[in-house]
Amino acid sequence: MRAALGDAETGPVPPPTSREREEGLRLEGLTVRYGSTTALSGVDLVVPRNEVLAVLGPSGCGKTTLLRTVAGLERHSQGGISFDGVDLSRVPVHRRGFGMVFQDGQLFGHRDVAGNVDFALRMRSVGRRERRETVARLLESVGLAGYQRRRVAELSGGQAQRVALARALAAEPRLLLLDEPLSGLDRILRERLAVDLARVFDRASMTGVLVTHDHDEAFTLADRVAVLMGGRVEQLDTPWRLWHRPATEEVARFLGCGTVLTAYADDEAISCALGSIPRPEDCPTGPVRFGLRAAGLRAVRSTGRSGTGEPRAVVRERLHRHDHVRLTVDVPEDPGLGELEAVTAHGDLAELGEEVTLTLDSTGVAVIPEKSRSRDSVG
Amino acid sequence: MTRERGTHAGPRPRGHGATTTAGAVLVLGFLGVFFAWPVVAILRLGLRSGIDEVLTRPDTWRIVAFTLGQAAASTVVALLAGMPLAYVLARVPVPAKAVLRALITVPFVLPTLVVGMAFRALLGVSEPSAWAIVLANAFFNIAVVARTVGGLWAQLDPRATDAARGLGAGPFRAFRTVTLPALRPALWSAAAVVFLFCSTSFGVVLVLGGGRYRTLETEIYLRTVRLLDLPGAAVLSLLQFAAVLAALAVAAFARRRRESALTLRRARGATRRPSGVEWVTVAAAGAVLLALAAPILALLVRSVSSRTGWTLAGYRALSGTGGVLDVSGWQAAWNSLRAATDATWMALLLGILACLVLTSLRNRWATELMDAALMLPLGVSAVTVGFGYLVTLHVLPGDLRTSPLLVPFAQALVITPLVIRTILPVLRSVDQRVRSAAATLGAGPWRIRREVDLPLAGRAVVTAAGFGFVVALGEFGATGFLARPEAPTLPVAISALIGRPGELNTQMAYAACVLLMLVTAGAVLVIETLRSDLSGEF
Repeated sequence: MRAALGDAETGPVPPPTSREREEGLRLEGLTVRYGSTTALSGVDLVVPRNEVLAVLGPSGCGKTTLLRTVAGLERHSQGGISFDGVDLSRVPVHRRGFGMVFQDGQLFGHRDVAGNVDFALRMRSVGRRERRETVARLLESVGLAGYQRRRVAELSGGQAQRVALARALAAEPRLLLLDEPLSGLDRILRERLAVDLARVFDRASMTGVLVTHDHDEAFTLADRVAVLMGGRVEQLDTPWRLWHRPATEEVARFLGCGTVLTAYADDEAISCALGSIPRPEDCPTGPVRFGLRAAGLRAVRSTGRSGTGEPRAVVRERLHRHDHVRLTVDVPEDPGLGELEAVTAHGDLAELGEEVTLTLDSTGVAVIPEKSRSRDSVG
Repeated sequence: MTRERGTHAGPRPRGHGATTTAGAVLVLGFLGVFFAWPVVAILRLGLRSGIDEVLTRPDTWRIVAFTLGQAAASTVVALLAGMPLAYVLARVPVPAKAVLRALITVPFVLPTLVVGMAFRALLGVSEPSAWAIVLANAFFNIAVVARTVGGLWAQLDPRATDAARGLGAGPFRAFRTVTLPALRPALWSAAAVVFLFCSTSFGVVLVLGGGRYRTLETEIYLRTVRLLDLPGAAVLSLLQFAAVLAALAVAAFARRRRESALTLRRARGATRRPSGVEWVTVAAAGAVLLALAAPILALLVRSVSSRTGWTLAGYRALSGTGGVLDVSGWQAAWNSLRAATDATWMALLLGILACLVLTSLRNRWATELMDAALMLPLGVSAVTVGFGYLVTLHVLPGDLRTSPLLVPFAQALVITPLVIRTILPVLRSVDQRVRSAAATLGAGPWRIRREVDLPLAGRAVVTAAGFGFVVALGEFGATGFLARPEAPTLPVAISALIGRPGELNTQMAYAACVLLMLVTAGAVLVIETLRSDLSGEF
């Protein structure tokens, strides 16, 4: 857990349950190499029973490799995988009792929907009647009641993914592995299916590992999220803490903080060049950094309101979003800040080249601990 | 993220690796005993005396030159004639396309002797003719071009051509700059295979070339059977082997590029009504179809006509015994069916096992080597194999030389490469993640084979069985050597009939050809209706 916990400044990780030491999935120092490239290096992770862990990271970070290694589809070169304290290194894929939902379903094209869902049951020689009942129940639970005889090719992307989920659940896996299960779907479908998935997990008290590059997906479905970058776990935290207290600048940037500024926390507030926010209780005093998302800076036209001491910026670009306008601005007095993103309301629109006043909004500000080894931040 | 397809398989339990090795040993062992050993024995027999004597004979090089020359000419003709058909198969909405595809395929599986006789009937010559040889070889292989190229063409996204047209390219320019480069792997693959078939063509050259036009294959036959000149035959075999290896290397190179490009998805809206100059191509395809039908019609007509008018004498004589044949034509047909059936199940067993091993091996070099080794029987003269059996197999317990299984063994060896080339591409195109999915659902390695691979390759297996069967039916090179006189197959009977003078014998030979053609065509039509959309390589 050492690497996963991050540094002391991140604050405490949610307390591990007492069962954690014996139960669930445990990865210790897991390292996977392909020839000379290292896909995973020294990953330590624990997924207690009845918890869903999301592994979040940019493409190429090794997250799919992590999942495939847990499933037994890749061999690891160092470290250990165990479940409920039993070492799995020598257990082949089909005996691990883990279910897996693949990125684009990977349904069996030569079988109909029922034939896909009852595959695992046939592998275990379950009787025909019980199979039929289980298939009906599972299809109903994923919202596809009555689809038994449909051909796989006739299913839409969302339906195929639901069948893939039912198929994985039929094995009653002790651990469910999901490889970007929603990434092939359009936005509306993705959101709906994410909610459905969360419901299924809840009802089944599922233990699971979900791999995704989409933080919305991770936050919706997972109890805890591990951020994987360059084959290493950068941070393991709850969704809230990950969003608001990223452990490193890289994590902050991956989670949408376009600007990182040096800041200082005193007893009352944390301040930076663009202003200050009240200090949250879990932030220690001393030097820190701010990760600013667009919503972290609010821009208001400065016409007729001068001398308040707030920083002034000039609008360079305007982008209309669904419920706000996103501005790209720069601060003439402090060119070192570079281009900043800020939001403004539709009603009070500044023209290009016009001057605006910037204020910090704590909901869009992530606090990153200052670390001596980290690179110099912007500003 | 690692998202391999096909090539990278997950780790397997150690037991599976051992099973794969055992499978490989079994397949290669069979190949060793029933192919390598007889062939090597023949070569050694021959090479005991001097190579240089044969190599310095001007005659030898004339034969080599003719072999390569006629093969190159046939390949060019087959490519030119096959392209319009490939276009029609891939791009034009033809009603009952399966029937069209079957019709195009019939020539390819017709026995070589039948094709030789059909061209003899068509051209009305009994004089040896180099052009007849080239045309007959091309006739055979047009189907290979049409199907190989057409198969890839159908999977190309037509919107790429549309884009080129939209950017100002004329139809010919768009074809030359967009479609043709995309088809190149299939074209190379087809050309290499056609060249291979043409340069080892036997029956056609034997019937149409007479004594004047000889290829390596017929010369090996003549030297072995007629002249008992084993050293000469062995040296020629070596020469042929070298040429074949070169052609196979080209084919393998092209094939790898094609298999990696193969996707299981067929582009929607790939077929559309031709317009403008495209009609010229359609007309050309029609002309090729007529040209394909002509020899077959000529054969049919010739079988019921003689100098004096219409007659069924050939067929009547065929149903009785006597004359040059020890058995009736029907008996010979029955022998053919039985031998081909046995050869088919043997080749299926061997071929499927080989495919499973080839898709299980993790070492790329081992896979390539084994793949190549399994293709070798394509390239070695069937005559050599047949003769090799006679020299070696008495050593094995239970003298195979007198066994009725001897002919099927030889035929199985000839058709196994065909079986493998039909099934292997389909297995290789199965997404590895589908297998992974089955594994996570509790299927062990062999269960995955049974539940995923075999069903997905099911139709390819049916196709392989069908094609293997018809090719075995027409096989003559090895069968001619090994068939016992009291149990000739139809091709053996035809060959015996051609060799005898007399109008009735000729008449019977034509009738027997028609009989063999009908059996073959019927089998092809059955296969085509069962066949998957995705064609293998032949």
